[in-house]
Amino acid sequence: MARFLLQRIITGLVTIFVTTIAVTFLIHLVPGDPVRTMYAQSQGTTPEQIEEIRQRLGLDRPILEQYGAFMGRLFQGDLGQTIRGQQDVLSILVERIPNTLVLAVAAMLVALVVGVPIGFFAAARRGRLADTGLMALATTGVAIPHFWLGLLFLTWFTVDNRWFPVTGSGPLSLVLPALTLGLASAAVIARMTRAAMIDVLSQDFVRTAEAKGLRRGVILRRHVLRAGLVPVVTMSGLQFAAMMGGAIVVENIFAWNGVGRLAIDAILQRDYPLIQGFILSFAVIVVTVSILLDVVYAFLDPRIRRAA
Amino acid sequence: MMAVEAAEPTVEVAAEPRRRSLLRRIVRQPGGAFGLAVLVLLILVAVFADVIAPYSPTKIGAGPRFADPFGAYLLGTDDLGRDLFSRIVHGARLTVLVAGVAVFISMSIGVLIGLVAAYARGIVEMLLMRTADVIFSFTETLIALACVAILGPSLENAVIAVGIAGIPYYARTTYAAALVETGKPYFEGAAASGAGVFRLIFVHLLPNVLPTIIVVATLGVSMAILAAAALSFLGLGAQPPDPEWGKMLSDARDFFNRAPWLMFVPGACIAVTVLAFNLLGDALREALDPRARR
Amino acid sequence: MSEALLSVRNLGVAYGGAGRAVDGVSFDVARGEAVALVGESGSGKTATALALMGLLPPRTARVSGSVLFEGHGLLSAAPDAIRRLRGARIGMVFQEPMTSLNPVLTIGRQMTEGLFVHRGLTRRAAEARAAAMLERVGLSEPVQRLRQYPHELSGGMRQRTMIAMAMVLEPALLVADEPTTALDVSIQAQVLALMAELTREFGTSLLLITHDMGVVAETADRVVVLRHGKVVEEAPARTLFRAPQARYTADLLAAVPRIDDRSRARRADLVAGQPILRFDAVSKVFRGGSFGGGRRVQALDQVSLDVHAGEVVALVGESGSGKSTLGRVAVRLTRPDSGSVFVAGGDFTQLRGRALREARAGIQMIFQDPFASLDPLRTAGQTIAEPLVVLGRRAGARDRAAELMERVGLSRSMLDRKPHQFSGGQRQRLAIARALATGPAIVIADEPTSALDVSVQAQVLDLLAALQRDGGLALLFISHDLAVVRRIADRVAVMRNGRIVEVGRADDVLDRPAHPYTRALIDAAPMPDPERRGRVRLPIPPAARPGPLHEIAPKHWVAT
Repeated sequence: MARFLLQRIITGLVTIFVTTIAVTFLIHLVPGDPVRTMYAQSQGTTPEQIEEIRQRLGLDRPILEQYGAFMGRLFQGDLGQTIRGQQDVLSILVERIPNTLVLAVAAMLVALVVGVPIGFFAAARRGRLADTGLMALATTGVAIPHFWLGLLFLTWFTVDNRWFPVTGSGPLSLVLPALTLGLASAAVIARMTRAAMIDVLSQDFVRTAEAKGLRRGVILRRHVLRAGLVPVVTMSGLQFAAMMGGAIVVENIFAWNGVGRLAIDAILQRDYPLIQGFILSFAVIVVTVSILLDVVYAFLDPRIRRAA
Repeated sequence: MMAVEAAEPTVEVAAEPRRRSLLRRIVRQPGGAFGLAVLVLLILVAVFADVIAPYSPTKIGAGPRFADPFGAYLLGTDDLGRDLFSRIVHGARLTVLVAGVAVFISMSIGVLIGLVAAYARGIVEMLLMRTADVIFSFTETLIALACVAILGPSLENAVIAVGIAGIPYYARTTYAAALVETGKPYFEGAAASGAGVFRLIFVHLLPNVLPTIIVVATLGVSMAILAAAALSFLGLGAQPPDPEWGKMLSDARDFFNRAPWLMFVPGACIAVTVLAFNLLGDALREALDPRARR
Repeated sequence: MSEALLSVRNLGVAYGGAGRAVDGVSFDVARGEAVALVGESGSGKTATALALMGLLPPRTARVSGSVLFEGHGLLSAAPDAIRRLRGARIGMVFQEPMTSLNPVLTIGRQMTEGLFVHRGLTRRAAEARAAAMLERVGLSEPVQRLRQYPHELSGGMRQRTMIAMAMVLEPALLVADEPTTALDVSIQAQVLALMAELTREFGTSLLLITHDMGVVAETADRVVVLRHGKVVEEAPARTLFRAPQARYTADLLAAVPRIDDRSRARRADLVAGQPILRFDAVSKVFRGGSFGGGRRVQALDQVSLDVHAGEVVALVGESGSGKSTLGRVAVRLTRPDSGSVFVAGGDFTQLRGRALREARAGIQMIFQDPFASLDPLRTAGQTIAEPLVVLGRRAGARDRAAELMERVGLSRSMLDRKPHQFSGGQRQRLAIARALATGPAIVIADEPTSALDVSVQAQVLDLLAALQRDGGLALLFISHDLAVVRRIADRVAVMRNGRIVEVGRADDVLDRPAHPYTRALIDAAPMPDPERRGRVRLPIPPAARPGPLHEIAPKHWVAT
């Protein structure tokens, strides 16, 4: 298991390393002069200003040197300053990221608590009415864009009743964004769980368990659920990353004070250091979560846990 | 186990007319029939948008502001007095274009990467698939955001971004399917018969993974539509006055008290389209699954 | 015979709209008796077993008739009543020990759960019973085994565990569905002996489902022969093998290859002149896992072997012996780490591009699984013509394909059919036709008949022998089955752990085996002859790296 985790951690570090290269070279992928393109839309930028920004971003130096400087600063915890407002990028991110994480984790909980039981139940009743009904619901759920669901919630809870605040940052304000984000994923997870459980149900060891004379409930709980959770965990990792992406959209709907809103502003204003920091921080989060999930995965699957 | 016992294949099976029976297998499933119907409708509307739409989608003041639906204006009008029905119809055209181009970009590059990685093995395989894994772990929305961040907000760039963001998805699924095929004895048999790289990839591998690619691409259309709409919703894709569904949805935010239909209709259009492609993909998978056949 | 423990009357199983998989099957199993249900694929033997266990999917399979077990009507009883009998009174062992155990639960958990349900034992008592039974089936350190997971056991150990799991409840009847089909011969013999011992010890009746007449002869008191879902013949084992009544049984028995079959005419010595295929000190190591840290498997270890024009050399060994790797190296599907392969005198390992393609025309391959070795989307004609098309010989390729179809016993009218329209045997004929298309001097056949039914196997073997004789073709015949080898080979090479331990003329190696491993392997092979049951068998010697080969008799080489 130690070897497995070490491999995963190395892979994760490689991912982050590749991301650092990508974000440095990113700006050079823009066709034409990057800084000029960046400010093409904003009026009144003089050539002097452009030259000044170019120097500040170090774009006038050779690209490897730029990367070296970037990495040097990164190791000192310096992600540079925002172009507009000259604020420290790292401290802005540190302030906002926890909010996004809280939202994503809450949404993930919603997704798992709703999705896994539904998928498991549907698989156990495969082909019956309950299965058909639940899967029709889940299939519809997958198709509903979360930004639309969010707007519908928004309308419903501001116009018709006011159980939950629709904006703000208190615990109750978390309910609607987390539901919006979580329900969409719950549908995906329900479908994945059902598929995984049905796959397990068709395996030989389930027949062995039946031949032993175990009750169906015992077989489902002990043999099927346990084995079926292994792929579900793997897929949940991707779902969490998708949720981080979805969080950006949902934060914008509910004015949730996370990195998502920051990111959109940064992109619209082409605030390059902020975009860099945003992508990097997402890489770190995604990698960390996937390593955590690998631990769960290894715990569930003895073939990995017990590997020498 | 059971299949082995029950189904010793018979020689007398008539040569099967593949295409027609595939269509029939899709339509026989309710989801497949629905999906196919919506797909056909969407394409028809997109092609004949100019004929169907009573007004120009961008014409301000085609009617009064916020006219109720089901009156003189089928779906009502928006804050600028534009006819919502006309905008929805032209939005269908945009959706078809956006999804088509984006899927074409991701599919052509992704499938090639997947095939080459599965065939080449070794270092090429590792480089290609590890890279795809790394990118894939960021998910579509984030990659698309990063691409828009580089290219700048516009509908064209959003399409390119969504196309690029989809590449790892196609690469991975093609790779997985191709890996299964290259491991089968028929592929090795062809190699042992002396077939070269191109013959192996394009004569043996591609046709055998094509069913998977078709299913993946169908589901990929949904993902592309959703991602593009999300970008436009965030103001990073379609710009005013483009009648893009996601953009219309975000514009409607300010008026949900006065004109809830402005928000309801485009959202429902996206949901139904996405649902249709998902159902069609499921039906295709079912119809093409060799285990389900025979 | 005493009173029947299990009495099956007029059993029928039908799936959906298809015909009946089982149609009017009746038989009895007496207390303490071992009955074999034997048949080829499609005979309905597995469906019969699952039906009487109540394990067929109720919504797709319709079961009719009656099954009486210890006075309970199994088909009419309430599901819960049957469940209480399953495991407790009727135990079951399945074919695939790899997949029949739950990979995420410990052996102990899986062994004790039946004891909890049916006996209501405490955890401690149940574990003690389970450990005792594991020890009884021959697993060392049984208490520790209970904490292990299935992947930590070898295939043979897993099947022993499956047997222990079934026997720990001391059932009155043990149903074993192809219990040794997935195992190597040496392990097969041990597992069969174990089952016989245990059922005798506990007075358990055995219902054995198998396709293998050798296994039947080694195990069963009475035999029920099934074909197309109907009972063809039922007789005591000795009677059945000595004087089969039904024509089908007689044909089936005649088709079973026998290791002691000496009827094949000895051929003039072919080992002369330059070899057509020569392996020279070929080695290959496989490394598992990424980062180069996985397990290291020496698949081939300095293997040298010659195949001469027109001769059939059989490469024999158990799984992991390296025999298939050697075949793959011969056609360059696998590249050796060191050593060379010469085809018709030229160094095959060094060729590239056009020269490689041309050389490949001289050496072709037939694979094991006829269901997977043909491209499902290409017609028979396209498949057969492929080696020609690759060489640019497109003109006349179709005529050549048609001609080959007839040579392998298929009609040329089937030229435009796709593989799924052919049966298993026919597909293997197609594969043979493809291998012959370029007129090669040698064909590598990797277990070409082991996925086929015995009767089909016999036909395919006859076809190969005929083609080989008439065309002066050399064959490198890779097989785990010594009886099949006896039927076709001129020379035999026995492999173990990537080394050749013995090589010589077929009669020398099979009748006068010199290496202890060869002897044990021959002893372990099941014999389709109940009279030979219980013969003394040499144990498999421990796996040490075999030394260099020495010539103990003319052309008979044995490793030290």
